[in-house]
Amino acid sequence: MVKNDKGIQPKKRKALKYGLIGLVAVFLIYHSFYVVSLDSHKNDGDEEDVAQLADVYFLQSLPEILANAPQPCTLLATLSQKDQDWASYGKQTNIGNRYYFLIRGEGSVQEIKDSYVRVVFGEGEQACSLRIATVYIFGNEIRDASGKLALADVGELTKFNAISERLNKRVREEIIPEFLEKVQVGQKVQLAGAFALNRRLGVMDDFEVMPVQLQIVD
Amino acid sequence: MRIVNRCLWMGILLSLLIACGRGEADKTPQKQIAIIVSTLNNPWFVFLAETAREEAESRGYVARIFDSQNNTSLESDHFENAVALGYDAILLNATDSDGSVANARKAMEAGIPVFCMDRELNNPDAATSQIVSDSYSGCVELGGLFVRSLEKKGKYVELLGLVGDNNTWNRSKGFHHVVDHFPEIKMVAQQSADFDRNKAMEVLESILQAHPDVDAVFCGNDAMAMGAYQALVAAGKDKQIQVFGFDGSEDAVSSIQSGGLAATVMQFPQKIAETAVAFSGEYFEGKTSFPPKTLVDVELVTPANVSIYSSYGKE
Repeated sequence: MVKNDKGIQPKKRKALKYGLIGLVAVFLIYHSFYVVSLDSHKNDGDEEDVAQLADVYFLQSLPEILANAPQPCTLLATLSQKDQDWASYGKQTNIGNRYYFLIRGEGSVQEIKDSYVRVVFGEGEQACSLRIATVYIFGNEIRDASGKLALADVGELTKFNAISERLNKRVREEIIPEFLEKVQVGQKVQLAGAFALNRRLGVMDDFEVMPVQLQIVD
Repeated sequence: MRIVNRCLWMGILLSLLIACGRGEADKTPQKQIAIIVSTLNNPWFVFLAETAREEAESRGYVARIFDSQNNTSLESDHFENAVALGYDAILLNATDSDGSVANARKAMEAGIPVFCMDRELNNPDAATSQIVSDSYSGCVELGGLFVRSLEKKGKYVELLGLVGDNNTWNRSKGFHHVVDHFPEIKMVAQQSADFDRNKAMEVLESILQAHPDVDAVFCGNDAMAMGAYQALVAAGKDKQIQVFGFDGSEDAVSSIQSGGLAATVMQFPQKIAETAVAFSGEYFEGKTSFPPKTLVDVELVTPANVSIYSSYGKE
């Protein structure tokens, strides 16, 4: 068997050499890259920004506007009149037919369904009933009905959409479970909320109000 | 008599001078608008481009449509031509949200305003203004209907559009924002069919081999929805599996009317095109500041309300 001057067999020496080169290469490659997803950085900043914008809106700007929101039945009666200018009572975010409205009032629970609670507002001929959403709270009603948050102020569309997601999530997780736990038919509730209507379709019977404030009063 | 003759000649000369002056004014070149559209192989984009051209011509502009054939390189050639030929504004329906940025920039750097129609560019500085459908919100609404139709339980397939187009992801994200909230609704396959009818048919045929028990198919546009529906008819499953689309195309609206597709989301290309041309007009009159993004509403079309809608939201 041929050995070199250090007493190592050539095959073993070769393996050792390539092994060492491999280790050095792996070490160098590992330390040459620092892989971090750009999205994760972007999202961190965006998420914080979105959270802040949504929280300020939900806790400060929106309640101020909601305090002066019209009674549900008065607003619906007005909107149902022919040739009524909806722009005087609601807000539009986009070019199109969708208008967003805010309402505030006290009513009594008429029925509790799988995805909504029906509440009757007003009395006698002026009474009206509305569906208060308890499951499908995903749209832009809460964000857009006050007219206080605009895409131009927020900048990016993804961020603007994320604000809606956060507002809706807050209502789904913080307002709805507590309400559903206690609500019973016949109880009085105080509601402040937002809804959307399509001018082309008019005032439909089955639209749902997204609650922003929802309390049982008795 | 001589005086009368002189007066007559003076009058004739004066009239000629006025006529010549008016001729000079008439020679003021008409504004030219280039309409660069991603593809004319899809009737929705044909409608968008034709409406933009008609609107431009009705305002007295010269307009020409360029077909990019879903090819960003060809789109780049169109931009070079538009710049070289001295067009005054470009209405762009981009082939790719990232890939088209460089093309739009060429025009912007040459001082030509670019107004995007329907398809977004990922860099807001690459265009003067972008007029797009609110696809995300439309699919949030569609997602709600989807969940209600499945009664919060079932399996479904999603057919995505072109992966390089923002609309693909805006629609998908809006839909998933709602549907993913319901744990008993499971997506068994998600695959791109490039907004193409034939491809959607092939893709769904293949998916149905592995998942014959799906309850619904969500498609990122109506062309794919019609392809998916065709595959279901061929497999004899069109009555069991619901198909949902997006666009409000002519065949999708007809299909909803006749009990085929379950629903679609109506876009309004006419409003997009008219707004883009109106913005160009404002630019020609000296306006330089435009909103970076203008959203156009979309509306849910179902068997219950389809009677009040025309294809492509024509009004």
